[in-house]
Amino acid sequence: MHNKEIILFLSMPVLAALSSVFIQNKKWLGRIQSIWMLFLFFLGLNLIKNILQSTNITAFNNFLYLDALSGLMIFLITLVGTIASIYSIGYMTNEIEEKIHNLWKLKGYYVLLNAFIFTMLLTVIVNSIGVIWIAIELTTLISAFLVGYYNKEAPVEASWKYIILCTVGIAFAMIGIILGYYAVTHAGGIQELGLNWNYLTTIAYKLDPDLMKIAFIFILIGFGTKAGLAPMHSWLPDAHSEAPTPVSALLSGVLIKCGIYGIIRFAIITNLAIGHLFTSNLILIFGLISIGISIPFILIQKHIKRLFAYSSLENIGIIACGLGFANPIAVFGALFHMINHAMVKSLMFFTAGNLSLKFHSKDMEHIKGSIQLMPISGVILLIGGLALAGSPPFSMFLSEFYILRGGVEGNHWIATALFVLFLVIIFGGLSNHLLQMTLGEVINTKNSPIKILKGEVGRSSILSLVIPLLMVCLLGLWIPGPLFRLLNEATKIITLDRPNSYAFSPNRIDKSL
Amino acid sequence: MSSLEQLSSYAIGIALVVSILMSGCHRLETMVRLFIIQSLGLILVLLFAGLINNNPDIITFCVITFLAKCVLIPTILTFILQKIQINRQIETYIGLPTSMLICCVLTALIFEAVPNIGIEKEIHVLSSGLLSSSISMIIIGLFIMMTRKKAFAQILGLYVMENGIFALTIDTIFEMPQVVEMGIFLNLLIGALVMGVWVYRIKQSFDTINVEEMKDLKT
Repeated sequence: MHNKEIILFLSMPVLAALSSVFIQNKKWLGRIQSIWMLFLFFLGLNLIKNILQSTNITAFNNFLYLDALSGLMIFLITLVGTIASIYSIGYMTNEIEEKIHNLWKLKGYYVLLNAFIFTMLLTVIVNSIGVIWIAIELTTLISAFLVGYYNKEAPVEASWKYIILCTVGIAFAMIGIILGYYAVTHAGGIQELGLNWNYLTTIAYKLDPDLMKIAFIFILIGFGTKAGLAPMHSWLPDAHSEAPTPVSALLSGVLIKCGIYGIIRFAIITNLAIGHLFTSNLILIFGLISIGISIPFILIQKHIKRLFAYSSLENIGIIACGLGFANPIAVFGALFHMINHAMVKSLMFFTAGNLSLKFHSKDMEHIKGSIQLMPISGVILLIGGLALAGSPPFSMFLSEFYILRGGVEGNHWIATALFVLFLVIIFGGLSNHLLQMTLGEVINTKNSPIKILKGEVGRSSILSLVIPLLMVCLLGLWIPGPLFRLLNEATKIITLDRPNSYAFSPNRIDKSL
Repeated sequence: MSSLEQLSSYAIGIALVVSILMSGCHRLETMVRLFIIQSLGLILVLLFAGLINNNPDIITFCVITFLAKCVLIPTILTFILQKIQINRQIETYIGLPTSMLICCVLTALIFEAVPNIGIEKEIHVLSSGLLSSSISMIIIGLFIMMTRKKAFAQILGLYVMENGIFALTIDTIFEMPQVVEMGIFLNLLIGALVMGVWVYRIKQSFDTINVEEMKDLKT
């Protein structure tokens, strides 16, 4: 019944990729891409509206399954995709003017970008966990070309590291899926349906607990590599910093969350089979390690894009902590944090892109006093920096506060204390870097050959900053009704509609210990 | 039927011995050929298992696996090898005889440990030999990836690991739902192409495919 809508929705990136092959005009190529992406965004909103009306949608003979969690991811992917494509117009024009690449390379960029968005959309709407695995592996293979787009030494190294680490990681996830499927056949499930998520939820209580535990560990390592959870994160800073700026925003804003999405889907099944303590404790530990590992790198960082890449590691840790605290308010916070992080990080990567174009450097020691040289970008960097560090009244503060409250309510005292401690240190480190960049003294340029003039880089580069900036400021004060409902429904799916965290019968909790 | 089972365990043995040989092999072309033999062994295991279980789809499934693992992937890999024309010098962190010995010891340990844990009593697998072999192959694949310095050898290590997972699939669940199975083969093929392109680009940028040369990105 929703088949046509979904086909229309999925055909947008395909059509966009095709149109980029045929259009010869450099100027219009980027603009038409943005229009396609806007269409995709509004079709996505329409789809989300349908999901909210009927709790879940299945299509194509159960091949696709969409519920509120998929809806949230669709919102995230299409929104960041749209912003990234608007930013690409100015960014790529600048690259062409500097003779970094030609028209054909530009076309290749847009084809890959659309393929990348398509595979991510596929990840979040398919039913079978096996197909989720396939789609996530495809995102790796496609985005590797985007990471190594510049084809110089450092990008090539980054993308090789990215392919190898993520492919090995995802192979481990395959072992987890095999074990899960084995548990299904062992419990007498229907073989052909055995990996469909909605079928798994109905027979999860019959699955062998020990097998599911081992399977979940493999899945956590496998999809955790893709999500960039420490200690499997070492591809993340390299890939994020070497990719073109719009791609960095997509990688950090949505790709790593697709990994988290895979973990969530399997964790729900495992929770149904063995109670939620086992999975949530594991996710919590990985989350805390991720935040902890990012601290020293954030404090000593000199490269502006690597700073934001390590901050992505921190934020994925925060999201994992929220999921690990596992009571509704913390999970709500974690999902809300996904949106906030995507918005703030797109904002920061785009501003960083503008700054490094302006100062001809990615070294933060050279980027100083941007508020004097670039009045708009400088102010946005200041606002975004405060939001990223997690200061009120911005949305990041709100979601971190929800997660914290969930941790306190769930009596995770040690984890909560560590969480707060880490966040305070990171707040200090990030604000130090960002204040230097915005308000610090402008380095004397009289002796250097490159003269840095006052002024902005381009119009589209400012325009694309408006949407995330609005979201960052607005969501901290007020969450729109439909979005709130979407987040709430998604939270209910993850927490299995538990009124509080101990709704399971006591012997089930004992079993999982 | 018992003769089929016996044949099947010979095939398992071939696949396992070949993966140990791969860990001690110094020519990349030979490694690709050994990979073909290993895949053939596993396809035979699949075929025998299908015949024992009277599975009707087994022939199609075997043909598709054969096409993917013994024809297309090796063709792509050999093509890349011809393109990059690298020197044949051995570049490993551990000497080849030592690494073969380590792999043998690892395999022996796994064969000793797996029955002791008592997995096969708990869960009904096809044969405990295949389970131990598949785990050994996964470990050997990882070992090859870690000890080789050449980017191309790392791809082969990855495929040995993939073969180990394939063996694990045959042993435990026999086959995935068809959509998933086809998707995995597609991924393997695209993966071979994409990784090949990147090996080529590494060769162009660094003039070598030794991953030790890539050290620009730290902290």
